[in-house]
Amino acid sequence: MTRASSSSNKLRFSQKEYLTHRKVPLAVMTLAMFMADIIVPVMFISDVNHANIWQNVNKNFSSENFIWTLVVLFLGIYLGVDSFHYLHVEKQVDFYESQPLTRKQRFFGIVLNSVLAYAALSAVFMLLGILETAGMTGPHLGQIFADAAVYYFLCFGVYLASYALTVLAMTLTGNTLVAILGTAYFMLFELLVRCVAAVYYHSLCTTTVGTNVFKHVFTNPYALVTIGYKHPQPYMFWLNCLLGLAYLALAYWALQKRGSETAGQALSFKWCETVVTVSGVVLGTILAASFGYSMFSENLPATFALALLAGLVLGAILQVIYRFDAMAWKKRFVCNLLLTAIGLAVFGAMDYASYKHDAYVPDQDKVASMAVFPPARDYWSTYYTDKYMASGKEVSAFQYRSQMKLDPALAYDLGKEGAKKAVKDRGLDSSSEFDMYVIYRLKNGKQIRRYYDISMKAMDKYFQGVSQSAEFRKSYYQLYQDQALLTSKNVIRLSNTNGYSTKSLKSKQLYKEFRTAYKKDLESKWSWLMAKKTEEIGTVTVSVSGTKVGQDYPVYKSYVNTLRVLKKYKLNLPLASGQYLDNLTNDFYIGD
Amino acid sequence: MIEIDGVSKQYGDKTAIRDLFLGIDDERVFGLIGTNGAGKSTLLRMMAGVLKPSRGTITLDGDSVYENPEAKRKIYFVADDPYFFPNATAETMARYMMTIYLDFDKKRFDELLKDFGLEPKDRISSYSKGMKRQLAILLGICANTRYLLLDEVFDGLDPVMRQSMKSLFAEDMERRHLTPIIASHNLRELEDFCDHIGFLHKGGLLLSEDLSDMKLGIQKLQCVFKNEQDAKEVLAKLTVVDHRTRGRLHTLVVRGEASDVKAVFDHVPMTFFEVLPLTLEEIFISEAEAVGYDTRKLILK
Repeated sequence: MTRASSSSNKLRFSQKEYLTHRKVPLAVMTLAMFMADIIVPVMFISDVNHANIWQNVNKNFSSENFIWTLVVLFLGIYLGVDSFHYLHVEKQVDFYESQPLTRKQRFFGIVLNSVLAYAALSAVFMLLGILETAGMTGPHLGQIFADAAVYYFLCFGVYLASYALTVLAMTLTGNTLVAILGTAYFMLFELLVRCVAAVYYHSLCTTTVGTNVFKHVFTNPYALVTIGYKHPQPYMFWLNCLLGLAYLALAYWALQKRGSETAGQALSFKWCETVVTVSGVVLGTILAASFGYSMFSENLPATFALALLAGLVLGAILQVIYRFDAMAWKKRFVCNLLLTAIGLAVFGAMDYASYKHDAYVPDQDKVASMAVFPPARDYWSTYYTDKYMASGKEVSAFQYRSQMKLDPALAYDLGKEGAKKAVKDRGLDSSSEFDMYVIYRLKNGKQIRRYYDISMKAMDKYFQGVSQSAEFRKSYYQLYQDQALLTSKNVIRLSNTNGYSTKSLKSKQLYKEFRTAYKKDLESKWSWLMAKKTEEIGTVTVSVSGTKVGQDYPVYKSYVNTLRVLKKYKLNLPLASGQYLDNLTNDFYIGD
Repeated sequence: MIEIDGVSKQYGDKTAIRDLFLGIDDERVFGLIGTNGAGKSTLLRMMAGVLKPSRGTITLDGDSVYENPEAKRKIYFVADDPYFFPNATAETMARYMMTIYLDFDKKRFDELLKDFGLEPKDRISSYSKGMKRQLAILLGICANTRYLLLDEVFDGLDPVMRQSMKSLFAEDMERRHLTPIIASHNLRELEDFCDHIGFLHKGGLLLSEDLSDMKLGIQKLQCVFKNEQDAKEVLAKLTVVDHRTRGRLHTLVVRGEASDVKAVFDHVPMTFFEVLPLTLEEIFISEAEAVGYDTRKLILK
């Protein structure tokens, strides 16, 4: 027998031996897959609404099955723990390490076994599950298979990443519970940092716009594929696989370096203690400060006191865990105090940075154009384009093209007033007066977006002029950019509601007349000062069949041209009583 | 041959083994004894390739043991508390060993199980402590390795089993040149079995000698002197390891060959003089006391 064939024989035998000695985890995995892929689809078949069957089956075998994806994550953790639990038990270390197998051979043997077992079982059960329901899913079988194939790889990535991270934790530690805690910590680490970012942007800063810090999460295998759910993307699979391989490489290194005598200890490498303590106490202090900031209504002394306590307690708990000794809480007290102070300093810096953020207004000579509009209107995706719903990107491009480009001279002071009030109101529990989005488009191409609470006084003084400008009207009402509507082959419907009842008519001619009339009324009658205290008597909605678009146009008593057109087409309605008028939404009405 | 060359082992701030130099010849029974915490198990585990020395090397026929499958194939290690797979039987353990130790003799294993009254298909978890130890030793024997490292091999075995195991070792030593290396506190069992003794204390090697030579070089005497002057003169000429008195009866443990020691007493009129056989346990206690491991302090408290 040659050395090469001896090695491959040993690998085969090892795989068989691993299967023999891993009956419990493999049984658990098999049972979970049996329930998810065989039992659950059977329940769908019994649905009396046949139209639901294929959709439910499709959902079960696609990336929309968030529950199964979570189960896969936990399967990865479970198999990871099982793979290297032996490193944490002195008896087992003596048993395995005295045998004529290198750590390298054992590592690759176990990892291969864990990955292949999942890959094979998952494929078999998925296939059986789909075929089981094939009779009821009929013509949709092709799509189900296609979505299932994508989902298979997505789940494989989740499994690999969670398994590998757990293996890394097992090789860095000497105790399984500590390893599980470590796995959880590093899996959640990015999310915790993003929580801090969220606190910064949405609690400390009061003028942040549209910053979704959780839009993309990279290092949590589950969150990568589910948060802000979109259709599965190739990068989700590749990133999970890449991270998985990186974790396995680090785990391999750790396994080669760790001493067998560390079995039973919390950590096998001294430097791990430093890494976890520094990151954990600092992050924990910042999170506690963030929590306290909200809980104590932005009272900084109370916030700092809570954070100080939290940091010290967390540091003490970590010392107890490292040494498995309740009395070890006193150890490294000065170090923990220092780290807590760093955490507090970071939070303090965040608070200061948020103040600078809210106070910041770019120099007027650096601003090329501006946009101001109420938050409710930050939804240009309801505008109709001939490429609507072709892809999300098309709509976004339209959104940015169509946003108003006000002369800074017209709107700059409004923004400045907003920033001033934001700084003045920091730490105060004041009610908002009027919310506005303000966008500064700089000459260097950058954009600065802010969400301001503008005082009524400032609105009256600075927004009146904006509201009467042609630029504002042009981008606020699609009437001015409706070429796509006019040339569309789709049916245009106009609906008029008074808050109580609604009348509709499908007619492009009606739309043409309506747009002409409405523009006349808008240009002659509408302004901020008028709109803020005048309640509309109706809303005309322009919608396009076969799409989700819809533009609302408030109608006032003084809009005589518009009312004439509505009457001509028999869409006019009587004035409804006050309670029904409240059903009409108006971006600018605030009452008397 | 196993060569331990300047080996040290540190656990954090603690030194378990300190600058150890030791050679273990083939085909001789090596007994590793020592005080509690001396480092016996640590040394054994380093020899088995479980622990990596902090300094120095342990080689087996010139090859380093740690992370070396070729060298480890020559060794089988039976730990103080042996591990068996959960829900395993003797049969499943043997089948596993067959995949690891390619020379594992399954037929002999089945025969030995029968001889020792162990059921191959019974769950090991239902075995007593002694039965588990028997099984661990039988697995080691049937692995057919050149070296068998045993930590506290006699612990939990009844006297009959102890003798049986010794017979097995002797048989394999003769048949296939097995070299057993045994760490134990049970000096009475080692005494009639070991060829060579290594005595560890606080991580260092106190002595390493053939047992026969060790007994030659240390004597136990009981004597009664006629007068105190004679006693002082004689004691000054002897290398005394241990000296106890009860009334006028002196019990001495002295270094030296029997003839040399007797010669010191030749011209001294004695009321009573007798040379007594020294057990390994007595040698152990004496040597330990000589390095400050004072048993009287511990016992009399």
